[in-house]
Amino acid sequence: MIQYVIFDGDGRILQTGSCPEEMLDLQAGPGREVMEGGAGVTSYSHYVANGEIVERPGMGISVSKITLVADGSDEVAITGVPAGAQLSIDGPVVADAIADGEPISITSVHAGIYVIQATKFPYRDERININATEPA
Amino acid sequence: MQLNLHNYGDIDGAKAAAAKQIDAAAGRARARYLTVTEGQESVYQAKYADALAFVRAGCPADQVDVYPWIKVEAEATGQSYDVVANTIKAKGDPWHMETGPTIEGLRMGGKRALQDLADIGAVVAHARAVVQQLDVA
Repeated sequence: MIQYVIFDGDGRILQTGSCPEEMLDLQAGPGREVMEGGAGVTSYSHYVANGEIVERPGMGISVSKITLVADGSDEVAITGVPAGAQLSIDGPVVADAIADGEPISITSVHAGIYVIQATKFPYRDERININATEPA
Repeated sequence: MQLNLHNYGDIDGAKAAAAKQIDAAAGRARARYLTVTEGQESVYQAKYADALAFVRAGCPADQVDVYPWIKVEAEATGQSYDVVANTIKAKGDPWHMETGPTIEGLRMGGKRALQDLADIGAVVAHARAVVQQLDVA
């Protein structure tokens, strides 16, 4: 038995598993390439680049604070989100945006927990929780 | 880049929502003082108007027939006309002379001020402030 990973044309790991060596090629299919390997590999932590399984890089995101007064003026600043990253915001307000590579300033007028997820392959997905509180 | 999180399509939507919040808060404030028993509020209004007119006219007992609410209540309870009129007036004065106008001023002024606001954050902050005032009025 050997371990294998199945990945798409961009190198995203779709599946990991094990099979008899002679059956490795049978795991491939349309949009599914296969290669041997995969110990400790997950789709979150690794991808395939130039025929090798490598770690997905982190975005290096930093956030100025994780609480926000929901008064429309208090801001949370997020830096390190690469240009082109998909931003998905879930919470009292649901929104999507594409990062432009500049620092992101966020305000809100609705209190609650916001979950902000940034995705841009091959970077690892990043998630930030921000608690927006009612103004005093 | 700037992300201002709100559920309003545009500032007009925020202003419309703010106006509704202010109206609702004014309704809650009024409900703390006014009865909701069917027909009773109009009775209180009529009695207060009668009492106010009677007192302002100097409590003229010889003309009490033109103040039916005062006349009937005084005769039904065995009190004098001026005592009945002054009691009704004293109970109604706080609402008619202060609380009611204060609530309506906050409501109308709060909604009028929305017109001059140019961003959604300011609209929401303004509505919150007016609602807070109404909640303690």
